[in-house]
Amino acid sequence: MTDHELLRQLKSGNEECLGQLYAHLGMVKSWICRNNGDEEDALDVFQEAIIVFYKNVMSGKYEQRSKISTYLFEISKRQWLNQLNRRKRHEQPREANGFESKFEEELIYEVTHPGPRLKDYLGRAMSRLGEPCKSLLETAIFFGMRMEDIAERFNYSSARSASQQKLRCLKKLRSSISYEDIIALEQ
Amino acid sequence: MIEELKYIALIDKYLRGTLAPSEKDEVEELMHHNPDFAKEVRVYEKIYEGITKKEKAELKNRLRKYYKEYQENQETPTSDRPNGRYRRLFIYSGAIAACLIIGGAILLFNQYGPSTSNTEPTVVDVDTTSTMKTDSIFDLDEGKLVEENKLDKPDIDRVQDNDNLVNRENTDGLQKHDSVQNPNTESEVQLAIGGYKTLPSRAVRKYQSSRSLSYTFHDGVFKLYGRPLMGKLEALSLRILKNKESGYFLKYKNDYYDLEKTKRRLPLIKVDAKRNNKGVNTLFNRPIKSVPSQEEVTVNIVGVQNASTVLSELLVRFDNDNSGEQTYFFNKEERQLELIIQADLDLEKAMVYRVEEAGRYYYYLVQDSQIYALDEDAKDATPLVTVDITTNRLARLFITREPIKTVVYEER
Repeated sequence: MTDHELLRQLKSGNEECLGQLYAHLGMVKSWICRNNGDEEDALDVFQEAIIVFYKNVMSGKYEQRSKISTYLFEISKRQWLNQLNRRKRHEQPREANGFESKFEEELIYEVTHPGPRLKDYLGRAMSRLGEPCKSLLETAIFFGMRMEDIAERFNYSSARSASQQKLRCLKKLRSSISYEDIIALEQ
Repeated sequence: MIEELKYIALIDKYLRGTLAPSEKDEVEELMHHNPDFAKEVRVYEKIYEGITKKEKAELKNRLRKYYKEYQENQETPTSDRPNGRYRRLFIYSGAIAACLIIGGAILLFNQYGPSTSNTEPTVVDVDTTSTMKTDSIFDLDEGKLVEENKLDKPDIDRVQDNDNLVNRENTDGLQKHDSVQNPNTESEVQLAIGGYKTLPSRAVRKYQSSRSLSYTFHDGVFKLYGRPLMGKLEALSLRILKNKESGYFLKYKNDYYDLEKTKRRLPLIKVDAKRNNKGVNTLFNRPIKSVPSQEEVTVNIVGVQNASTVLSELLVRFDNDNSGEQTYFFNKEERQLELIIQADLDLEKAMVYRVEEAGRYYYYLVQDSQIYALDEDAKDATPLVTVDITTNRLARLFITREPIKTVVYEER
């Protein structure tokens, strides 16, 4: 599939085309393996890169200046360098005082993962919401898709009516959520 | 709880950072002086954050699945991967075009030298046709390119031309035969070979059944490519569905395929129950109940003409001026196969097809509704026999199919 065709297919909702991007995993893998990473790191980083790419395509922010493979490689590189930097920063205090920082990390984990998670809570609220609201909100909020494109995909007569529909869906979702519940959810 | 859509719109813009300057002031004002509004902003913040996290986690899961599928596809290189096919296609078509153009140019320049002042087209006359290689090859280039454009076929089909690549390269010397497709030289060449006319190369085609299906869908006409053998009953069982979100689907053999309005041919892609687009979930979460709607649609199973490609290895000549029996025979040259037909054929209408099935070739001559099966082993003049389509399955490829009028079914 050519880049052009892939972009078109993605925009029209054929998400599984993303699978073809894994053809470019090889070069990311070899680069990361040469830069203090392993294959698993490469897969994680590449997956993040695909997500960034996909979201940018859907929100209309992706401009086809270079080949998709180059674009993915650049994002992967940047992500990996960031990760290396973060690791460095975390590793240094640990070397100085191994036990304490490890303990701290566990503590943070304990505090930030209590009970039900925000995403699960929203997941349930969204399934109660039903279609088309569920898909509409996911596309609008997660992908940041433009209202013109949403109107086209969900067959609304105009961007304006898609906007109105989105607000109504938000209102419906909000009415099923209690302030106390959602504010209590940390993550 | 603030319910007014206007406030929700403001909060939405605030969270997405798309507030207009005047709205910014309004939001700041509200945040400071309206505790309910400030509370709502926090709730929506959480909602947006939750949706983003949930979606990302789900997308990651789907990506893992796509990756697995990709790996599985890699392990079976024979599978129908559009990825490889498209790539090969582009490389090959590019290579072929480049070879033809460069080759033609080199030959032309070698013949006349770069300083030639002769810009007039070379007139090809009877006696020189066989030796004027440069011209015929150069004509061929243009002819081929025009041909390719004319076919207006999407890439999926042209990929079948891959096999040709080797042959074309090997048969450089023989390509002069193809020059007849250029109308300017046609009559001369025909005279040169004495009474026989040569079927234009666009009318000599090969067909290989392909597994990939594609379609166009616009202005109430749905065209299905890639199944020219589809019988009427099967075609009647095709159903175009529309779900509540007005997304279109094709139901074919208990599978659902995503449809979009398109004038360009697109591959048919099976709907994945787990995938979440166009409200497909509504289609799968409960049994599908559909009723005929007012929307009419014409279903057209595209015939073999558009699913086949030019067959350059075969040269077909025919003699119209026959008084006796209609006959044919094949003449095998070293690399070129010739088919000589004695019959009343129309240069504009006659077509010769090579159908490949299970590694074997079957030849057919088709003109209007007449279909003749040809035996490749016929070395001597053999009578042309019309084929019985009830017993010859492949011959059904050539039956002209009427479009079927039906309606779109709506999800209820």
